[in-house]
Amino acid sequence: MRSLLHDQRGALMLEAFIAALPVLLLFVLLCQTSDLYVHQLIVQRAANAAARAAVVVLPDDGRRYGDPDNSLVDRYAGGRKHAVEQAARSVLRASPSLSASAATLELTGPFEPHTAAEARLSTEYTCLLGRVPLICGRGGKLRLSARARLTYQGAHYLYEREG
Amino acid sequence: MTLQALRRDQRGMILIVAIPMAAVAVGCMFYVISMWDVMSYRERLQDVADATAFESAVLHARAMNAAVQLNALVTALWSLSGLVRALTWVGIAAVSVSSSAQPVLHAALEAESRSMPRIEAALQIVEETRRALNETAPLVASSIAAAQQRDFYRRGDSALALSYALLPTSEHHKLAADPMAPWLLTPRAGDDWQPRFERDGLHIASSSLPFSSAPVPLLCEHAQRNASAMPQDAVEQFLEGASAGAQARAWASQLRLPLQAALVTPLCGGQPPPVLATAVAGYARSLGGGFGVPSAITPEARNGNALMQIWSIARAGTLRHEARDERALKLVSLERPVDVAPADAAFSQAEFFFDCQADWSRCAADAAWSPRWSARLRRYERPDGELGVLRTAAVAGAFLQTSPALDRAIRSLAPERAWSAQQLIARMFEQSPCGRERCIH
Repeated sequence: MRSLLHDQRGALMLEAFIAALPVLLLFVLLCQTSDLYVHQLIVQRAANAAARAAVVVLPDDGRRYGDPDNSLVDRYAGGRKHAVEQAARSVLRASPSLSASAATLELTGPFEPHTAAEARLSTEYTCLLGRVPLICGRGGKLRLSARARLTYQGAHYLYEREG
Repeated sequence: MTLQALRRDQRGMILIVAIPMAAVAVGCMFYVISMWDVMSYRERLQDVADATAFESAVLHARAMNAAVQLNALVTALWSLSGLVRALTWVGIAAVSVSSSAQPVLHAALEAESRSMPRIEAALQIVEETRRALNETAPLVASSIAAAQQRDFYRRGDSALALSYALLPTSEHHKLAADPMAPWLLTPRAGDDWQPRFERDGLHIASSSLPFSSAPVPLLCEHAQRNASAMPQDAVEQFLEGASAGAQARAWASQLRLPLQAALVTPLCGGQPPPVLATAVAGYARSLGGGFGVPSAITPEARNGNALMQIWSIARAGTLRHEARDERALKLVSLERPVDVAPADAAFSQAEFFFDCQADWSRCAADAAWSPRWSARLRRYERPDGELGVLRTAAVAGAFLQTSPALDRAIRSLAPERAWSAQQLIARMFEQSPCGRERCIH
């Protein structure tokens, strides 16, 4: 035992191991941050897709959305709402780390021609390495959000009814 | 160096840690940059498709507004010519009442002889302008819209806008139905405008805005209504001022007929009353002689229907992005099958429309007279039912050589320089995954 205490072999390896821990943590953080940034890009893309869908779907002919008499035109409701949400979800589904089902989408705007419509998308992101401290907290999940704004593509003319 | 010495050697130990960590760092950077590039490219591809369709629709709408204003100009010229003729008849009537009114008649005849050739010349100019606008506007719109988006992200990327207005005006039904019609020769360097429309005796690519060449029934109705409501009192007062008397009033009542005929007959295309046969013969002839008459919107066209739509394709010049896109998506999705559209092409749809707050049955009356044509993006819907005619429109679009990538693809398909743009465009549309469920934009 005494000879073991006096033995200095392997001391550098131990030092290197202890010193490498923060470096390793730094790299884990780097990976996690990269992944987070990538998923923020995807969420932003999904918000853009939702806004792009909203400005053309909400003023669209209701025959495509189970609204043949166009009573819900220019309103974020019914089949139009489903279509806009579908546009955002189709992007979110690209990554298993993003929850398409937990996504919430809000649309704001007067929904009139030549005005702006804004989409705010928020969804849950599961961290790459679980509970990495400093970034993801204890739950290992973060809420990512993004917003996008586009000009509403409405028109004043009325769609003609079938028949 | 012995194995024992190697084990004791502590040099290079940091490398063992540093190399994998550097590899991880480089991988992370590649991951982020690649995904950023993929996302940017996808956004850009869709933006370009949108911009191409929307710009083309805006240019169509502007052309419609210009055509509407030409309609108003034609109407003003016709009204002016009617007024000049009416003044002559007033002069004739005045001379009939009193010979002292001869200077009035001479002045009216002088005014007519001077003004009518100018009015007719102006009508011819307007007619030529309108014809040129009608036939070139869709091609120019498609060309400008696509040319502005050329090489939008990488060299070779291109966009193309298609619409019904690109269809050849006279032969498009024949072209759409004839499977051999799309086989045309590629345009050559130095081609001017006209040969692009007519190659090997085949009229391929003139186009037309949705205006018909038939006179506007509405204008005829308006003219009839206005003429019948012509203030007889004003005519009577004028004649009474020249030479008062019962005979003047009698002439005034008769004068309504020639006034009405002078205004209405040319616009309605009907036969003039016998008493005015000579006077309006020139007008009647001029109707068939190429002088401008206001034109109506094509009966088949209406707000929101296919004749008003523009479809666009933005396409990557190479498959590089597509391959990288798929790789990056696999990386982020951990090889899970992804349900997203491929990124080699983006599609968009826009329309030009007449901006009124009613359905077409109420708007149509004003559509040829009011410059309220506008444009907007529509939700993209694959033009399944219209593919046949869109193929023909694609010929017109491709002929403008606004799409280098398309041109290269065509040449690779047909090395002997005969090509089928129709088939290529149709394939791109048919293979697009943008049905109603997958692509909502």
